[in-house]
Amino acid sequence: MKNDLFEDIKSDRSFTGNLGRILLFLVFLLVLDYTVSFFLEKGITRYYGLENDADIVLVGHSHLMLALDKETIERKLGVRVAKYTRPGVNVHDRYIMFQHYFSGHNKSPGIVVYSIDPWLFTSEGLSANSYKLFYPFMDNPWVDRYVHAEAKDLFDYFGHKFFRSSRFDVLLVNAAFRGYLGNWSNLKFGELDRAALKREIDSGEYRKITIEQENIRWFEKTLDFLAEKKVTVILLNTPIYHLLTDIQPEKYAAAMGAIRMTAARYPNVRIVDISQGLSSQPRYFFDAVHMNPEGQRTVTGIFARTLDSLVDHHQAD
Amino acid sequence: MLFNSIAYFVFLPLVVLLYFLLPQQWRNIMLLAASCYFYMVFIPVYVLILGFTIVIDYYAGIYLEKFQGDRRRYFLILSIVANVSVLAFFKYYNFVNNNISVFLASFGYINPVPDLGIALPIGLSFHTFQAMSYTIEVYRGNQKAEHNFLTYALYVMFFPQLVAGPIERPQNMLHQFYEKHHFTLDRLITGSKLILWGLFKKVVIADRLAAYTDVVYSNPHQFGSSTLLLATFFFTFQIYCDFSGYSDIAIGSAHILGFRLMQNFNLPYLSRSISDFWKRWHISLSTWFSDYVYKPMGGNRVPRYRWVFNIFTVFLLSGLWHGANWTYVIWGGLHGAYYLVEYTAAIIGRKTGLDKRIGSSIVWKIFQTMYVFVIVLVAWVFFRASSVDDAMYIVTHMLTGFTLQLYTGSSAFETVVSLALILLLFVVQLFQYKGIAGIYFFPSRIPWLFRWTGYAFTIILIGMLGVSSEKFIYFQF
Repeated sequence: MKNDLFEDIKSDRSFTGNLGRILLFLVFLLVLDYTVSFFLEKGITRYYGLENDADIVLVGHSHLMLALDKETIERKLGVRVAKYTRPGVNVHDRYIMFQHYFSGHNKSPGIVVYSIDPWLFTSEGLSANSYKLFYPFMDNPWVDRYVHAEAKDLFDYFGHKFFRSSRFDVLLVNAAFRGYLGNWSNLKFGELDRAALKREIDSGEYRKITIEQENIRWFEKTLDFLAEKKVTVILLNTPIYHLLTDIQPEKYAAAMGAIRMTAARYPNVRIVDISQGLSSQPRYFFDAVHMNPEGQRTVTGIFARTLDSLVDHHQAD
Repeated sequence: MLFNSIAYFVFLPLVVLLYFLLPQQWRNIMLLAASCYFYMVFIPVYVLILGFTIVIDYYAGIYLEKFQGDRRRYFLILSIVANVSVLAFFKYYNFVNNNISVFLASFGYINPVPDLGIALPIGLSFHTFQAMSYTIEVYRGNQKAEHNFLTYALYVMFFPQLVAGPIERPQNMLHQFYEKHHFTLDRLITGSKLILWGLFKKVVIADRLAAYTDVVYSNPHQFGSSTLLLATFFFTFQIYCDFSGYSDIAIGSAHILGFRLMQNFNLPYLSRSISDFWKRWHISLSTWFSDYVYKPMGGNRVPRYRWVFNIFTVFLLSGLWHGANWTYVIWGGLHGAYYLVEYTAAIIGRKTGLDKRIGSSIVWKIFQTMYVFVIVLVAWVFFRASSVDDAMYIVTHMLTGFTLQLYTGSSAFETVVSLALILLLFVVQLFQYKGIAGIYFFPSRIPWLFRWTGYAFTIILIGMLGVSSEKFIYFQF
């Protein structure tokens, strides 16, 4: 029996030529895709400081990203710092970030800095579908297994596995360019708009502190893992503008208490709180939770002095 | 089913494969079944509304052909009333009822009639207009009545243009369902290229810009002039990329199947007059209003005051077609006013001889293009704003009290990327305007290596910068 489609193909004189062009284009696309993704991956690896073994690894979300200046710490303490911070990462993501770091580096860092805040155990407002954050590192076998297990369907996994540039988004493109330019500056210029914040708080549009047991478990798992790796862990509480915590004082105390209680079980963990004194000064803030460049300079200066003694101690060991 | 969903990119190849594998007599049946499925993915029960108007218009067409004299007119009226009633009920009921409530409230009365709590069937304005063009053309004798019910149903329901056009005419579409379409790889390639460009405009540009405009327009009173101006500038490109992107995917999809849909956009932001703009923007709708409203009212062959009335009627109806809100009516009215001011200025130009002195200078042409862009941008404020109050606030504040305090979106880099994408779009359109790059299926003069790099980067940018969105702006109309 004759089939119309096959007849059409037989009578299409340009079919072979066009098919050849399609195949050639696909090869061209794959090469370009690989080149773009290679370029971007190298860029973000530099940006996060993952290309070499580091002495200090900073892990956290945008609070930490904007609160600490890695270049100042490196210059003042003479150490190599990896600042592996990504917007919106929750406690589970941070566990994966540590796994990722340690799976790709033979030398263990002496110190890791883990950013804490009163919302550490709150899921709302942070990343959902966290595994997507790790797409760019799918060439790392550990990350690949993790993404494979978490991906919502096969298209999700294989789409990002083979179409490599789709592993990146606009924020990662930014990070890659900054990695190549060696630019880790805080670009959140401007000062907290207190009136706007007050309006948000009055209308109830602020992030509520909650304590979720699942998140406490991930936090403990992370500290267990870091204890196994025999690294000193600093839980760093960076400043948050006081109005946000004053509005929910009991929950604030409960969240910080839960962090302290968990940390107390680990001899390698200490808490550094540099929020006191700074959290009431709006000039240090871009918004209620993020530092501006002036705030970052101040926080980094204080933290570098705290770290100094620890680094000396580690180098003596 | 959304054109920018993974499901569509499984659906389309399957339909194409089945269409060309099946014998001719089964192809339209398969296309109709696929179109029903495509529509029912949104809200399944609404296919019954479509079915209702299809049945009415199908029989109206047959009786229009069968009878002579006044009886023909009755069938035309029946068809138009049925279509307009469905549209009025679903789209304008709440609008009218709200206005009655406001009117009664001003006298201290409460409107006892409640609003309808139902969603508007997707693309209702598009397929009712397409259905009406059929009965009107049969009435005028420009089109023979379609006696095959399935073919007529497919004319209304053909999935590429079912929910957001182009609004086709029966003379262009119906005969295509009887033609035997042959598969060619060349058409697959050219159709795919258009789909790719449409997808790029939709998911990379429009949806990225939407992230900014949605925040600003949802609460405009919180932002300063520069932010309001930037948000409106972004919306001007968002709506173009959203709707023209949809049209490109529709035309490209139909092209692969061998169907020719009409061009819906032709570089509208490079227009040099408002009348030129309306020949380039949503062409299928503006020609619909021209053919079925403006010309039957007498067009420009009437006394001057009637002509002004005709122009305003068409633009106000066009505004109302887009949505049941006074903001859309004002948007249409503004375009009507622009049109009349431009017409008057052209007369003055001719009388004073200014048009001959400066009309051909390149500076004047650039000025005209910029002036049209700016007035269209101002009108878009009314189109996008949630209320007339918001729109008035934005218009009065975006051009006064200029401040550099700019909301930079979720990140400044994203806003810079948005601006870069608009620049890229502008460059591509300039190339298309100059005939260097192809528009729709016209050939390109760009060397193959640059073209291939362009296509490859388009795919890469869709994968990398594409934003997933659950809607197209024009679906609501």
